[in-house]
Amino acid sequence: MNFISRLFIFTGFAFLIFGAFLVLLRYNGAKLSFDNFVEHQYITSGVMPQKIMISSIKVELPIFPAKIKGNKWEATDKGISYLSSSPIPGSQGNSILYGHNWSALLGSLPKIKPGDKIKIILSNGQEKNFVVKYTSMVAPSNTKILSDSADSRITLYTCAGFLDSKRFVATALLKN
Amino acid sequence: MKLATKFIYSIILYTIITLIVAGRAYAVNAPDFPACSNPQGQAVASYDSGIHGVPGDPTTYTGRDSVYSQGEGTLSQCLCTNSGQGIQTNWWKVSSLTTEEINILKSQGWILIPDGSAWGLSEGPYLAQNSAFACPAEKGGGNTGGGPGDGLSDGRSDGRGGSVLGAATSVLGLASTGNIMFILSMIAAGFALMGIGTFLNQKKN
Repeated sequence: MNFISRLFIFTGFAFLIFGAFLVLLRYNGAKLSFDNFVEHQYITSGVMPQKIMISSIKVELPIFPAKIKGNKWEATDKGISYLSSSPIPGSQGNSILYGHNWSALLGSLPKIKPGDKIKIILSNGQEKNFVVKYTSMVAPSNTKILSDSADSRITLYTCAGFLDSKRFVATALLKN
Repeated sequence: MKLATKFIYSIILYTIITLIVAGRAYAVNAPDFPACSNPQGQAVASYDSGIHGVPGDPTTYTGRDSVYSQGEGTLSQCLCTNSGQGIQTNWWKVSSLTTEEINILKSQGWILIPDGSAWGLSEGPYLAQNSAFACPAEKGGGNTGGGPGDGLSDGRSDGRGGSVLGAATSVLGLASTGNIMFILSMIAAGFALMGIGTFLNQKKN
């Protein structure tokens, strides 16, 4: 009996510790970062992306500008973060957008498939339509996936994998 | 402290230190490769269609294939099968590595190709590493090479990519932080188990 009661207490304690660890990880501000990413500043016209819509996975969220401060990537818990040092979606280059893997945000992003459509509405009312071309799971060290490109694309990602150790990335190209 | 306890603690400490030191001493840094979704480097080969092999995989695949040189004996190969299954193979010429270093990299998932000329590369040993991605399927491509398809039972494709990554993320994502209900259930289970344990302990006393 003594062994069984201790086993219950120990197992329960282990569950609590692991649960608390997941809570800390969930609200860790740095968890959406990529390692050693070098930003390139683009000249912007003042137009900003405001809203993203992905009908195939039922996502419709506001977009907020975000910056990298040190190694910490700012991330909103109210929508999608747009790395404001990357090009405006629809212009030439690689626009970087990301969000938490919470069910109300980008939790369903891993269900997206090549061929799915992404619509982004800009602050001037313009709509930019993209088609997903690739999806992949990469390590946070794979910063080359965020590198600039000659085409007009968005790179949309969220955390995935065991203890959020990976990034699920959807790459979508501007639809002409 | 008893001698036996001291001995056990010494063994644990020795093991931890040995593992840390050994891990650092035998670390071999592989080069960085760009992802196929944002390929970089110089394109050295490109095939719109054809049958292709993948190192370490006996299956043959039909689809598009492009190879990019990253310089210094490193190449990235991007294969997109007709069913939308993407396979990236990173190639690394390892003539200068020792057998010990190659064995360490093999334990990390790299595959040794004794002679690259068998794969259309220059002569010499290469290490290859595969990773999956999803890409656009060919319309009417169906399942090729035994790879996973897009879930359509009639073998046709809807022109969208495969679901290779979806299955992987759903399994690996069990301990991700996205599902707050999972986290709350774990904490609740922890309290419940501790409560049962305390109750059993009090009952015994």
